[in-house]
Amino acid sequence: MVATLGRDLLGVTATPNLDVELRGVAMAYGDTVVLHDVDLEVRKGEFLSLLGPSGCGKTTTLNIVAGFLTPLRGTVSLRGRVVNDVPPYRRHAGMVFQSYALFPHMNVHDNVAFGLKIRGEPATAVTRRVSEVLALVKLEGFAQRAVRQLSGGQQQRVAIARALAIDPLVLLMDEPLSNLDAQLRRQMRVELRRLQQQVGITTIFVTHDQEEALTLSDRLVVMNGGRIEQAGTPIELYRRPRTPFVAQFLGHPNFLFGEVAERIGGELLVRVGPDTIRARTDATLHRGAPVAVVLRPESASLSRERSAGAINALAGRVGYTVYLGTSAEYEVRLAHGPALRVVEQISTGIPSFHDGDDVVVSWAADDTMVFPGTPESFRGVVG
Amino acid sequence: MTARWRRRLTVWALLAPALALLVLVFVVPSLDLFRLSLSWTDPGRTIHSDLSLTNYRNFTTSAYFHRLLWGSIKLTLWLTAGCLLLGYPAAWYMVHARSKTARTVLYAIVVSPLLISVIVRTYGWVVLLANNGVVNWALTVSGAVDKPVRMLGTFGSVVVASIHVLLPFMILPIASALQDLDPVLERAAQNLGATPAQTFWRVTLPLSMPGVLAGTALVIALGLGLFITPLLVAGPLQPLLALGIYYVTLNQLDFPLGAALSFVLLVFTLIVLAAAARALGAVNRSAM
Repeated sequence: MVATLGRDLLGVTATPNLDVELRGVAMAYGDTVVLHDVDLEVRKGEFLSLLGPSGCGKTTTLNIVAGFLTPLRGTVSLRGRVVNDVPPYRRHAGMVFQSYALFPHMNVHDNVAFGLKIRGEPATAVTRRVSEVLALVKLEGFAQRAVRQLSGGQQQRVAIARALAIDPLVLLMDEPLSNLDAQLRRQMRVELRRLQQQVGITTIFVTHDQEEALTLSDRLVVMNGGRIEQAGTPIELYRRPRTPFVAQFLGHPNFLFGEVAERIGGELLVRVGPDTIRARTDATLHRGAPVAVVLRPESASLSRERSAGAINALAGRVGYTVYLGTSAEYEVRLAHGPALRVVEQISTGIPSFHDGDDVVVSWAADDTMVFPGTPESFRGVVG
Repeated sequence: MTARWRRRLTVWALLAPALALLVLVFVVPSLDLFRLSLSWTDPGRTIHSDLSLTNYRNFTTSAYFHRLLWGSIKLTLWLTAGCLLLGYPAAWYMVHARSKTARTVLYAIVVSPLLISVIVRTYGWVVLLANNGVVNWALTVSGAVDKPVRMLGTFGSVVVASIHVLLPFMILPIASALQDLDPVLERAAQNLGATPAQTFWRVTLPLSMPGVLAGTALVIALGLGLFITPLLVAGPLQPLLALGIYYVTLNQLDFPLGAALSFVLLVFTLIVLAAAARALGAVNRSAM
């Protein structure tokens, strides 16, 4: 309390309500730049995901917040206090490591108690807090177990309990679910979200899994090549990606290449081969500019006949079907152009189309995204 | 023949050559030596081969032999402490040195004593520690002392030269244990608020204990039996059990007594090693 007051009086407090703030943070290993002037804000109680492919700088960012790495430039603040010169053991940030990093020579209780004992808490307070956080992660009765007797999921819970025990300013998680099998991962995802909301702790979660990021986050930040591509709520990023990379990374959509024909009101007409596609966009693009039209597989629908007055309707033939029970994914070879992936939700469990069917793919202008650029300029993004 | 039997047979077949060699050159001579230790020598140096505990009684009652055993224990304690204090930091640095070249050079330095004959190495210490040796020359020239300090032949010279011989046996197991330690554990400790010093005492050191104990066991086992190095730097009269055996056997030609003393040393070493192995097992169980 006094310390907080002192910091306020000194006027070092940055923006209030921000638990973590990065300003112009740059990082390089030798000649390899891994972070280019990253700005990041995490609000109080927020669950924020850093999402991106490996090597995008998300783990580096996390390690800079934890204090394991010192940035070349820029400032790192925790609760309004600049911590660039504060060593990791004075930062009070709780980290859950990808490998959990539980101390193998201690049992569950001693692992969770480690941070409390280091702080010289009295034994009774330590015991109380340890059983509190173990209850939180549903590991009551596991205190005396050896770490090696635990399953991967249980080790994960111990790691979370250990980080929460010290009541950190921020919880940092480095791909914590990546070592679990698919079913457990889905289960832990739900539980992690419940836990975070229950404790109300500000959380930065690093992942390369878009589904994880979308389900868990209040806000997510997509990173690529050491830069932040876009930050926003999951719905914002999914619905309105600002860059082709974000569009591609969240949902692996279809890319069609063409050029701008004309603008009519809020809609842009794009010529793709012999077809014309309508997109609702504010982007100012002059006539003839090369663009990519981006369409999510689940935004499009299939029909046997071209309905009257349909816009964005392209003819094709079903190449092959991936049956997933509640949905079917078709690859439709267009009559003029490449193949499109289209997902159909099927409540009956029976797909409406079969390989070789002649179909029409159609979708709304509102569901069409447009990004400027030639096919060559998208190489490396579209994979 | 079941698969289990076939597997057992394979194991024994693979072990057989080594076992045969061990029986031939270790077990048989040891038994022979034990038999010899039960003989006794009269003052006229005639060996009587009737079974007798004369030599062992001699050992338990003679203050001289007790002094030898205590000398060996004292030396081993010094060696263990010295090797630990010098070896642990060296091992730590060897594992944590940033540049690969530095690590390779350190490794070469640590291993090099093992590649040079123990006699050559020990003569190096004689050259250094002699009254007209390098150290005394430096001390005299710098004016630190008026006349050469006697170093050769002292207990201290035995400790210093022996540490040099045994240091690799301490460093290598510790380095190997530190190498196996996941650095993310040290990060985790710091993340939870442990200063680098606290991290070392609570995480690094406990997790490297298997290496420390293995190194200690090696140094104790080798230290108790060390005799060439003490002999060369301090002469045959240093109170050490190994030198006593050498003296009794080759100067007094009392082979049965030498054999008995050898067995005392062997049993004592085995007891210490068994204790170390127990501790090692306990540490391994809690660490792994």
